[in-house]
Parts: sequence; C-alpha cells; structure tokens
Amino acid sequence: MAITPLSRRKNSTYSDFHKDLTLNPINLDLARRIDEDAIKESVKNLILTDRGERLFQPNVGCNIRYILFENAGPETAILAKQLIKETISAYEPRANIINIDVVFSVDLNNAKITITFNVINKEEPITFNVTLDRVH
Amino acid sequence: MASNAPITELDFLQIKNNLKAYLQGQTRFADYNFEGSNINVLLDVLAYNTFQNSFFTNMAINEMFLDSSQLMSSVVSHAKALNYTPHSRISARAKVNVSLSVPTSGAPNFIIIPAKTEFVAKCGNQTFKFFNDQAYTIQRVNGVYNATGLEIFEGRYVQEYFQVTNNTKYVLSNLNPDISSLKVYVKDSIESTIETEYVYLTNIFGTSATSNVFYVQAKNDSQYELVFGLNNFGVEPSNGNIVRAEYRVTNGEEANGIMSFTLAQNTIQGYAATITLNTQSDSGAERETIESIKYFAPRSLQVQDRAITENDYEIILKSKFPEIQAISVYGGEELNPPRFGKVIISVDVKDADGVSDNNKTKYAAYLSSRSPITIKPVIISSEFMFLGIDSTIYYNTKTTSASESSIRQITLDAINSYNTEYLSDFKRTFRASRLSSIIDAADAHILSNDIKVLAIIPMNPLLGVSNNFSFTFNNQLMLDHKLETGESLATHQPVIKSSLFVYNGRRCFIQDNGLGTLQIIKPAGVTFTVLNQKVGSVNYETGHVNIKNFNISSYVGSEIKLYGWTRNNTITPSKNRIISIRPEDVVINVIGVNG
Repeated sequence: MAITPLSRRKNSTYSDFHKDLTLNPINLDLARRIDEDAIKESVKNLILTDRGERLFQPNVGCNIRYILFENAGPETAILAKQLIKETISAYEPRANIINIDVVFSVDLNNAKITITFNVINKEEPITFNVTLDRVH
Repeated sequence: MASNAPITELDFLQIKNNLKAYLQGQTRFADYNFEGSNINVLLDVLAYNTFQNSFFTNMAINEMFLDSSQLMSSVVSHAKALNYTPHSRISARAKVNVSLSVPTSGAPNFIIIPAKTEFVAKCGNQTFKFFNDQAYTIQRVNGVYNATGLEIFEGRYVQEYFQVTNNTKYVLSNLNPDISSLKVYVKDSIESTIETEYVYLTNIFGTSATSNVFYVQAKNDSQYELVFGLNNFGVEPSNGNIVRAEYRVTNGEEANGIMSFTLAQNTIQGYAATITLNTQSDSGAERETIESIKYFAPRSLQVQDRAITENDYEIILKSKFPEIQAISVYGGEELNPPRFGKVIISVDVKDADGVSDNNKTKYAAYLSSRSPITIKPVIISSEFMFLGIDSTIYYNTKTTSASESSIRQITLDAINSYNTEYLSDFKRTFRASRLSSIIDAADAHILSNDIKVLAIIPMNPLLGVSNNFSFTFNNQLMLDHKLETGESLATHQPVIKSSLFVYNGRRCFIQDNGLGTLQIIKPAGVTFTVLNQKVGSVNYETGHVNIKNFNISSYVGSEIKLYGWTRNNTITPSKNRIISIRPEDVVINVIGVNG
C-alpha cells in the first residue's frame, strides 16, 4: 500500500483516501491515494460493485460477478469485457481503456481480469489485475 | 467553503450534490465527483444518513398537526384533544315482521321473542347474522301472534372480561366493534353474581363521583378503550373488580340493502315462525376515515354538541350518523306557508331511496336534546331535481381519427365528472357555462359545444286514485310560449311537458298552454287533442307547479318526468332538493367538422 509522501500532496490532480482509512504514519492524518493510484482504486471499486449495491443509485456498478456461474468459454469472456468497458466508460471518465483480458481458471473457480488503461491526458499505460472469486 | 449545508433537502441525490458542493471548499480530497472513488462511497453514507434524518423529521413533524398527519393513530390522538371520538363501524339495521303459528289449545296470552334471537340474511353469496338487541313481547290478538317492525341488527355479540388491577387498560380487542351497541357491567369479584350496569356517556355533564358511567376513546389505529371516571366523574372500578364489556362485531355497510331474512332456528319458543320484511337493512357504516375525522373533529368542538345554527345541525348529524350522505337545513319560516318553531332537515341517505321512518325518528330523537326547547326538528327525505341535457358536440376530424362514439363517451364522462364535482348535493347550482367549458376541455379535438337544459321533477303518482302534487322548479320559466290553435306538436315547444302516461285508457302527457294552465294532451302524430283542459297550473315567475286530481292507470318508466324550460341556464334547486344529472337524461349529438 503506497503512502503518499507529504511533498507530493500539492501537485496531485486526483486524491482519495484509502478504503480502510489508513493513517499517515508521520502526522497520523488520513493517508491519501493520488492520481493513478486513486483511479486504479476507483476502477477496481466499480468492477467489484454489483448494480443495486449503492444506495439510490441502482445503475452504478458492473454486475460482473454473475459470469462466474456461466460457462467458462470465450463468449463469457467477451461478455465480461463488454460489461467492464461499459462501466468504466460510464462512471470513470478519467480512464481511457486500452485493453481488457479475462482469463478463467476452472480449477480455482475464479476469473482473472487484467485491465490496461491510461489516464486522460497522460500516455503512460497502467495495468492492474482484479480476481473475481465466488463468495460461496 | 460552500454555504449550502445539506439539511433542507428531502432527495438523496440533491443531498449528495450539496455534500459535493461543500467539499469543493477543500483541496485535500478531490475525487468526490467520481462514482468509483472511496470518498464517493463515504458521501453515499453521509447523504443516506442525512436523507433518513430529514425524512424522519419531516414525517414526525407532519404527524404533530391534525391538518398534515397521515397516520390514523396520530389523527385519533389529535381528535382526542378536541374531545372527539371517531365513530366505529355501525351495524346495519332492519325491521322484520314475525308471525307465530301457535296451536289453539293452551295458547298463551303472550310469547316473548328473547333478546339476541338469531336471524339469517343472504345477500348474493354472502350470509349475515342479525340479532334483536332487546326481548320483544308478542301479545295474542284475535288468536294470532304478530310482531310488527321488530328491529334487528347485523353482527355477532361478543363479551370481554377485564380483571381490574392498578394499571388495567380496558382496550376492546376486536377491531370492528359497533360502539353504539356497547354495554358495560362491573361486579365486585369473580365470585360475585351481582353486576352493576354502567352507562355510556360522551361528556362529563351531570356526572358525579358516584355515577356509574363510562366513556369511550379511540385507541391507536382501530381500537377503542373504555375509560372510567377516576372517582371524580364517575365510579372507577377498584382492584379485583371484574369489568364485562358486551358489544356487536359488525360487517358495517356490507350488510346494507338486504331484503330477505329467515330465522337461524325455525322456531321461537318452540313455535313455528314466519318472517317477512318490514324495512330493508340500512344505516350500516364503516369506521370513520382519516379525512372525516380531520373534517369533523374541529367542527365538533366548535358545535359543542349543540344544534343552534344550520351548520350545527349538519355537523352533529353527519358526524353521528355516517350513513347520511347529504343534508340541508332551513328554518320553517322560509316555507310557504311558514311553519314557525320548526327546523326542517332534509336528509339523503347512502344506498337508500329516501329516509326510513325508523331513521327519521332516530335523527329527531338525537337532535331533540341538542336543539333549543322551542325549536322542533322535522326530518324529511331529500327530493331530487334532475337535469335533462341535450348537447351537440363539434369535433375536428382533421386532427383525430377518433370515432363519434368515443367522443360521445368522453363527453358523457365529462358530464358525469361535472355532476360529481359540482352537483349531487344540496345548495348546489347548475351553471351551463361551466359544464360547457368542461366539455370543451375534455378532449383537445372538441372544437365547441351547444347545450340545452331542461329541469326535471320526477313524480310517482299512485295509480287509479286522484293525486295532488305541489312543487316548484325554483327558477323563472320561459314566457310567451303560447299554444296557438291549430299549431302542430312538431313546432311548438311547451314550457312544461311530462313524459307519457295512460289517462282514460289513452297515452297522454301533461303540457302547459302558455297561459299558466296545465292540460292533459293526447298526441296523434303532430296533431293533438286536449283531454283535460285544466289538470293544474304553473307560475312562470316562481316556477311553482300545482297538479290536482291527477288520476292515471299507468306510466312509462319508473316515474313521470315533468320537464321545465327555465328562462336562464343557471338553475338553482329549492332547499329540499338535490340537483343532479343522470346518464339516462343526457342526449349527446356528435358532429365531425373538417378543419
């Protein structure tokens, strides 16, 4: 977990706090996620949120979890990519999707999603993984 | 820092937007605008919490006032502060005649029909139980045993017992009691065999610490609670006493209009009984609604259970007897001839034609102790003045493909809604211009309409005997519509004309001659013969009509309609009449206009 040094605070465009409300070890204030880190967290949150979870905002979320119970074939992977793309386009305007990979692990009953995007107005691609596991 | 704190909104998203606006005043966390960010999730929680608090506060404050409260329990509580007890369901009541077959040998002088004898009534697929609340003694008269007008009430009797302790609440457990049937008895202990009856009072006037009385107050949503006088305004039962409450549980208005009754057991005291109808069931009513409580509670306080002004009569009768649909009150001095010392109360009852004698007596008895000694209330049935509407509707065929029948239906619906909203009650005035504008507005494709209106007074003469009628249209009638000699029925429009009836074996109608005389006319194509030169008279200025010695053998339909052509299209009925439009009196001509 990256703790943002105080020296970078004033130059950051995007800033959020950590999901677990981590404290800054130096000043014991709330630690921040900034810029790419913040966007990465936001994208991950969106993908892992099912529609209807957010109060009074039934359309926010990705509804991707149900594909774990679909046949682990290429059609399902395409569907998953589509859902992720639509969600990010709708709710994360800061991210420009470059590529989405969905790999099903039949033995582990999960799906590994690799998302590559770049922040708007920045060229550097960012890649991160999200693993979807069934809850039960 | 934004100044619009999120405390005045009742919409979740608006509250959240206010929070976002508030965060614009700081730079440390910038991602509140993005739905996926962690801070956005926190904003959801804050907005939801604020929303919940605002909503709760709004609802709680609404419930604090009678005007805005929505919950029955709140409305009942506010009414209690105004000393108003919402009425419970009320049992339908009917009257039956009972005839007993008793063998002549050893026939007793009288036979008692016990209280709570069960009668069965069927209405469609539903079966209702009726009981007489008091025992009735049938005397033997000329060897027969007949009871006429035995009053019976719908519902079943239940009893509840309360053992008195320090904090006993005497809440009736049943949700549909008829409080008017409630009787309360108190005995010292379970072992005691002597009960004292307590009397139901609605106020504390005339009570003392030793009065055996009880009061009733509404409780929560749909229950009632007995209250005693705390040894100040009545005896308070003491610890160990047993309170017995007996009352009817009723189906309310569902049991109205029943005309067939039988005995649950075929015999009374072992004698075969024949039951015939005397008066069909009526007066059954549902529990008072929230809207009704809101209306009557403050007015009841204003009236103070006294009938002095016209409004007082209306309020105390309507709040006590929910079956009353409309009421008109006026002094006897306004009658012609005047009846001084009388107040005339014209009443229309729901689901019934006219007011039964039983109800008239009941209303008069209730009023007699609440009106001034020198004023005698006279209850009469309401009468009607109907309106015959002949309308021509012009609609644009260029802008719609709607059929004439659909335009006709739209127009009829508009007339019905006008009737419901503006007429169908006492003291209402028909205004043709308003009806006309409502018809115009009923559909965008209606271009214009013409309305012709006739006032209709219904008459129900007895057949084969002479009948006299005296009533008024209460409006000026048209002048100068004299029936000229040789004039044809096709061209002459009389001011007064009736529907058809059979007079001296011929189908005839009543018509005025333009000079104030009503005649009986026998039509023959477009010509006619006058069979009776003067069956009555009409005053064109006052609208008063007198018909004398009117003797006919039959008439067409359920009544004879007497049409009156009023001088103005604004029609006000007399005080004892309700003005109304029936679909059967409406004629609609639809004409399509191209453009």
